[in-house]
Amino acid sequence: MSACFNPFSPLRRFLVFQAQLRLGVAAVVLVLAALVVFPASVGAAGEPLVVEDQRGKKIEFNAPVERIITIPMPMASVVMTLDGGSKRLVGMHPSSLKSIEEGLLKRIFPESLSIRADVTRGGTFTPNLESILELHPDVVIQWTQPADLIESLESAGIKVVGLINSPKTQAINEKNLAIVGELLGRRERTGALMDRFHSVMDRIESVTAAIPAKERPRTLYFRSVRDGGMRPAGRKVYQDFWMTLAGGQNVAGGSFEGLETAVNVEQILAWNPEIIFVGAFDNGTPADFMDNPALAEIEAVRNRRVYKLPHGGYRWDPGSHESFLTWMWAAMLTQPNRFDFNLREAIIDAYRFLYNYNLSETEIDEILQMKDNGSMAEYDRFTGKR
Amino acid sequence: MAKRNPPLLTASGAKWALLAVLAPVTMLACLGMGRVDLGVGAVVKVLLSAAGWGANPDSFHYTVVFNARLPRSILAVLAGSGLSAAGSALQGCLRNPLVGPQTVGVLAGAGFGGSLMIFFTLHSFWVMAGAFGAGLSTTFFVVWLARKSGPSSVLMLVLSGIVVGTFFAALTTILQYLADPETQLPQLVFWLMGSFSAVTFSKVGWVVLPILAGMIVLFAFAFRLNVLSCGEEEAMALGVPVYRDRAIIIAAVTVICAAVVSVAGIIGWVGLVTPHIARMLFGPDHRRLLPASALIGAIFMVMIDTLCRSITAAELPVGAITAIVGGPVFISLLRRSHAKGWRVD
Repeated sequence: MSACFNPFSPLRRFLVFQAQLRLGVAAVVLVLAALVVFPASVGAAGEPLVVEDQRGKKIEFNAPVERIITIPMPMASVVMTLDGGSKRLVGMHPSSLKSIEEGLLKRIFPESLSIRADVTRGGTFTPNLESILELHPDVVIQWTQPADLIESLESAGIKVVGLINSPKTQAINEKNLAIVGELLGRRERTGALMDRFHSVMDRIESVTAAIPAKERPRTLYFRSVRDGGMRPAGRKVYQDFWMTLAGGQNVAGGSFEGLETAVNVEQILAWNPEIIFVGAFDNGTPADFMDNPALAEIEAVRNRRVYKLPHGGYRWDPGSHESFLTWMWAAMLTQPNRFDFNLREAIIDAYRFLYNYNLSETEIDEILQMKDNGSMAEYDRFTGKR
Repeated sequence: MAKRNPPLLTASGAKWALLAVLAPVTMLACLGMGRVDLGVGAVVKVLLSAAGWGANPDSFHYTVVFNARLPRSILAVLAGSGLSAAGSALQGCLRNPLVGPQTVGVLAGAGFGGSLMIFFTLHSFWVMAGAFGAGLSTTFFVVWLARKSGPSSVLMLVLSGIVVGTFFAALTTILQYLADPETQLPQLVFWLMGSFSAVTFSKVGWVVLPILAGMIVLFAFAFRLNVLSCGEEEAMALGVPVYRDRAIIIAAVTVICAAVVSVAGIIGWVGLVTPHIARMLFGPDHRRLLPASALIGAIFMVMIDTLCRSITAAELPVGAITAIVGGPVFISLLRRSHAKGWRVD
């Protein structure tokens, strides 16, 4: 037995070797397993971050991105929302800043008001290369169309993540948001946002998908109503998507695409919409329809079903991180007998999740445009007093 | 074509009779056309009931005719006749078949004035006022520039007008560039393209006086225009105060054009095409040419506007359609007439 305690005995050396071998194999197996199971955690420890954008291009970053410039207008608010603050945002489109100043975000992210907004040529999407270079960005988020919006940046050696302009479907909207989430390393938070989108979508779609055409009210959404001309949304825009989702039918959809087409009063009379949505980008209000004698014969006007789109962290008309609230709002107004959400609660809950912000009752009224919409049909469902 | 027939009273009378019948018939027919199917019968019924005869019409028909079609048709008549008479007067006064309201800079100036008001997001009343004011001041500036460089220069007037017009067009482009793409830019583009779709009776009320006043001044100066179009020296020899008369005519033209731009945006071509048609039909005497231009301009504009509001669900920009329809019509007429009506000398 004493031989076993001899440190130099051959048996002892064999046993030690065997133990070391087992340990080594176990270590290798563990590392391999870790590599397979937790690739993301390895990435966080200094491996490159790879983001695939809407062009299908893979952009590689050697360290977490710290300095971000956003040129697409809703994306400044998306970055701050997914990141929980404006620390990493160093430049944005002047109109993004305007939306922050005019809307709720100036209260939620007050420090964002001092971020530079001279990164474009005037109000266009053309990058102002000089001031962008001066800001030393790690990445610029930019629209993909037209291609030369990106080319000048990339030829100057700046990394660009391209997103699809004004998404016309929820799938494109979600992909844009997911790409930004990936870039920020906020995959989990983005996933939680997607879950909200999907659960609201399922609840609405399960009801409205089966509604036959004759029970779908004729709806119109107006991008502008005053000096910009009467311009309703046609096919292939996000507004057409949510009007259909909410159980309506966009009567302008049969005639044209996009948001740029102006129509005259007579065409609106010929369509005779049952519900009219007035966009939040425009200074027009339901009163523009209610007080216009030429439109007095329209069903939407006679039944007081004309509504101004809400404006919260961003305007509710186009695709953004708040769009699931747009769907609930539109569904309750379009199919009042089929939907009865508690929208005020949903807004409070969403803003806690999105911005970690507790809304006051007055702020909810402001978001819902209670001043303009308060006297319209069905709108008392949103006052919380019915 | 050296042979000249003495103008037959009957032929001329027939042309006038045709115009006199065509104008109201066109107006009535156009009021019956549009996106809502009505027909002339319903229109007549609505109009009769408004005048106090006949039974109450369907209220929907009433809305379509009275609110959707009538204000813009009235404005189309005013704008068409005003721009056309203005074009005729300028062409005679400056002795050049190529000039139009755009030549003295009023269109570009008014366009810039209105754009500036939209840029500062002011109410549509201020857009109208800005366009009107800027149009007037631009022309005065152009006339002043031309006077600076010597007394007798039509060439200088036209050149200054083109330079100043280009300058203001460039300023308008800068404004479009600086405007917010989501809120202001669409308004700017829409307003500049020109359209009667936003016209209401109150807007018609704002511009009816300046347009009519301008036209009355032009009609009153019809004979002076005949003298002026013979040439500067001849007119002076006949004792006409050439510069004073020219200034009055240009002022009247400017008032008309600035008023039109302020409510309907920039509408080109009408002031160039219809005066030539009138000249071919009625010859160079401004006492007949000006009323004929006005009538033809009104008919042309009402027809163009009806096209713009009826062909598609989308409202077409009237400025573009006047050019698309006016260009080929103009060329074919020119080929047929070989500039008949310009041969005064």
